[in-house]
Amino acid sequence: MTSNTCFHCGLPNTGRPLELSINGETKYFCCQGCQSAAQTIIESGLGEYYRFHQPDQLPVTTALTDRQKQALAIYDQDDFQADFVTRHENDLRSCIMSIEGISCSACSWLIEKRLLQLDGVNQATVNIGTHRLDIRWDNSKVTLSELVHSLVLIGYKASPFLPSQEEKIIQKTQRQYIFRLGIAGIGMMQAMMNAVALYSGTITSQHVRWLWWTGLFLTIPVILISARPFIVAAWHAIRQKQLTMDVSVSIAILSAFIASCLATFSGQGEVYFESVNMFTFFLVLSRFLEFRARTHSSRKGNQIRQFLPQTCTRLDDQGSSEVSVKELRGGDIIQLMPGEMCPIDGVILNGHTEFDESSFTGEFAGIEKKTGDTVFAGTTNRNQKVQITVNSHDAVNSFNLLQQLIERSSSEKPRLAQMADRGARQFIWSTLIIALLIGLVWYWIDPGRAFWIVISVLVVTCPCALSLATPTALARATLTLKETGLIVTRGYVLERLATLESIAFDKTGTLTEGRFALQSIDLAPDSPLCLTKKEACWLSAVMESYSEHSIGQAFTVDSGFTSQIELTDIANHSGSGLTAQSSHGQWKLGSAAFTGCQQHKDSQSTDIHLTLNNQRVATFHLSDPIRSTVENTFASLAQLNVGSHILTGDPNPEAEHLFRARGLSGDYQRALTPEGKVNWVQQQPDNMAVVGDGLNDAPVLARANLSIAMMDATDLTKSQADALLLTNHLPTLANAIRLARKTNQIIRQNLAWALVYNAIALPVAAAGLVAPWQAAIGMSVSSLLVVGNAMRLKR
Amino acid sequence: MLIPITMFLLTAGGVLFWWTVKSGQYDDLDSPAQRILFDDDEDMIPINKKEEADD
Repeated sequence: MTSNTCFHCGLPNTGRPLELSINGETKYFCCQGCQSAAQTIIESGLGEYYRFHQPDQLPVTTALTDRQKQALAIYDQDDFQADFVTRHENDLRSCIMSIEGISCSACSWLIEKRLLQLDGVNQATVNIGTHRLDIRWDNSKVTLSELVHSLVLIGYKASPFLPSQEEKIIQKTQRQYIFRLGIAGIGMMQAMMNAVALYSGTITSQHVRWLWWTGLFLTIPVILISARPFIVAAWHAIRQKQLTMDVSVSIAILSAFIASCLATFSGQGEVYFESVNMFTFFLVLSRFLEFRARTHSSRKGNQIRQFLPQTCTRLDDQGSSEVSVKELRGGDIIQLMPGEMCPIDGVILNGHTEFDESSFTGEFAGIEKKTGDTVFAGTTNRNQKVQITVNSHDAVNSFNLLQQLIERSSSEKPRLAQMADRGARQFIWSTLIIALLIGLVWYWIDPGRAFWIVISVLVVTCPCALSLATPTALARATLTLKETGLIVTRGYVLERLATLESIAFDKTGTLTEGRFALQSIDLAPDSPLCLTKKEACWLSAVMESYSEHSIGQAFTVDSGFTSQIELTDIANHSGSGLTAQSSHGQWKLGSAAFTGCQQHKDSQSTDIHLTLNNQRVATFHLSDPIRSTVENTFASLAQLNVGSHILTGDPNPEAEHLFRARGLSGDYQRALTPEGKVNWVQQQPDNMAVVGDGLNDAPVLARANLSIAMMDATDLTKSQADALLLTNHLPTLANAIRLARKTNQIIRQNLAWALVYNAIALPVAAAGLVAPWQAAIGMSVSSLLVVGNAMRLKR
Repeated sequence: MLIPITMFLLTAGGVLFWWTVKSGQYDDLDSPAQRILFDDDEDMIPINKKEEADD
C-alpha cells in the first residue's frame, strides 16, 4: 500500500495523508474517519481484515455528533424495539439489521468478529448477499445502541430491518424453488437407477414391471411438487390464448408422464419416467438460477422508509425530545437543524431557510422556504433552524406520491413476455407443428406407434435446446457482468443491451460525482496577510471541520501542514458560516451575505469567501466535478455505434459545452422535470437505456426500455432499475454492451447447434433407429457442447 | 424387498428435506461459501512448535 491511496477506503489521498503505524509499518489514510476505523479494527486484534479487504472507495465516518448519539439512544427504548426485535427467554433479544458500507466478504467477517468480541453477544451472522445482520444479544449485558455504536466505530452504519411484503414473497419463493429442486433431484436420481436396471436388459419381465411401478411412484411427487408451477402457468397462458415456454414444457412433461403411466398399467410399451424427472430437474434448476440472479441485488436495497430519517426532535411543553418518527401525530411541532432531512410533510411554523430538494428535482440549488411554506418529506434543510408543524399523519405524503408515479410507470413497462419470448415462441410453434406432422405421418403408417413417437419428439427437442442453450449463456454472462461491476436484476437486460442504440444519462451524480469539490481558489491581491493558497485552504478546512454542512466535505484537513496562524474560538453559525479568532483578528468563512463580500452573479460555481476583519482574503470556487471516465465512456459508446444523450433538471446551459468537448454525441436536454424526462424518453424511437441515480430519476428509470442505476442511487431508484452499476466506473457500460452482443451471438450459435442436432437426431430417432443409450450419449454430448460454448463468455 | 425399503427411505428423506427448507437452512446460499475462506483458528495453531520445526 503506497501513500497514494487510503489504506482503509482506497480513495486517493491528499498531499499530506494521515498516518498510523500498524505492526511497525506506516499506513496512510484519506481522512480521520478512515484512520480511526482502522485503529479500532487493529486494536481489536482484527487486522487480518486488511488481508482480504477490497476497499469500496468510500470514506467512512466514525465520529458521532451529540445529536446522533441522542438518536442512537432511541434504539434502546422498548416501544421503538417493539417493531423489529424479537424477545426470547432470559432477556435475550434478536433482530435483523441492514448494514451500510459492506464492500466485500472481509467486511462481513469483520462485523461478525467485532460483535462477537463484545460481552453479551450470542450470535452475529452477516448475509453477504443481502447485507443483513442477524444478531442475538443478552440485553442485561449489552444494549442495542452499544452494538450499533461499535459498528459505527469500525465504519458501518446499521439500521433496523423490517421485511416488506415483497421481501417475504421472495423468501417464500426461494424456499419453494429449493424444495422443488430437491424433490426433482431425488426423483431424478432414483429414476435413473431404475433406468440403468431396465436398460441393462438382463432382468425378468416381472422385475421390469416392478421397476415401472417404482418409477411411477417416484415421479408422482416430482409432477405434483416440482412441475406443478409449470403446468399451472401453462394453463393460465392457454386460457389467455398465449403460447409460452411453459405450454410446450407442460405438454411434454404431462404427455410423457401419462403415456408412461398407461404403459405401466397395461404392461406394454416404454416408460419415460427418468426423462420426465430429469427434464423437470433441469427446468427447475435453470429457473432457480435466473430467479436468484434477478432477486440477488434488488434485495440489497432497503426499504424506502430507511431513506427517511427514523427519529426527529419534537418540541412540546416540556421542551425538546428525540422521538421516533412513528410517534409523530398531525399538529406536532418538530425542529429541524441545518443538514437534517425532513421525515414528514409539514408546514414551516417558524424560521426562514433553504431546502435542498435534490432528492425530488435532482439539482442541488436550494429552494427558499419561509413561515407558511410547505416542506416535503425527504428534503434536507440547508441553512437555519426551523420549526415545522406536522401535517396530519394520514395525509398523502409527497414521498408516497412519487412512489405512486413510479409504480404506474413500471406497470406500463413492456415486459419480458413480449420481447424475450419472441424467439422461444417461434421455436415452440415449430416444435409443436413438427411433432404434430410426425404424429400424423406415423398415424398413417402405424397408428400404434404414433403417440409414442410424438412424445419422443417433444422430449428430444425440449431439454437440450431450450432449457440449456439460453439459460447457461445468460447465467454465465450475468456472472461475468457481476464480476465487472454491473448487476443484472431482470431477465431481459442482456437482450436489450445487445440491441441498444443509445443511452441517456442523468447529469448530476451520474456523470458528475454528485458532491462539492474545490475547483479553484482566488486570493485577494490586497489581502491583509500574505497567505498562500495552501494556507488559506488549511484555515478553511480547520474551520469547516466544525460545520455539519455538506460543503465542508470539499475541504480536507491536512494534518501534516503547520501554520503560524492559530485559530481559536471557532464557532459555527448554522447555515450561514463560521467564525474564528486568531492573533490577527476575526476570521469569517461563508457565503457572500455572511462575509460581506461581492457576489458574482454570473458565477457558475458555488462560492465561499474567507475574510479577516471583514476584508476578503480568498474566495473558493466549489463545484460538482465531472467524472474523469466520462470522456472514455462516450468514446467507447461511439465505437459501438451507441449514441449518448444527457437529461438533466439543471437549467444551466453552460455545462453543455463541457460535455460536448468530452464527446457527447446526442441531445443535451436541460431543465427537465421528472415527468419531462419520462416524456422525452417515450418520444424517442431508439432502443434506449437510461442511467440515473437520483430519486427524480426513478420514474424515468421505471419507464425506460432498459434502466441502469448507480450504486449511490437512492433505494427507491435502485429498486426500479434493471441493472445496477456497483462501482462508479462508467466504461463498464460499454463493456457490458460488448458482452451482451457476444452473448446474443453465442445463444444463436447454441440454438443453431441444438436445432441442427435435433434436425439430425429427430428423424433418426423417429424412424426408431436409435437405441436409448445412444440417444442418451448424443444428448449429453450435445448439452456439454452448448454449456461449453456458453462458458466462453467468461471474459 | 429392497425396493419398498428404498421407497420408505426416500419418503423419509423427502420429508426431512422439506423440514430443512421450511426451517430456513437454505435461506442464505452465499455467505457460508465465503466464510470458510477466513481463518478463525489463528489461536489454535501452535506457532511456537511450528517455528521450532522450521529451525
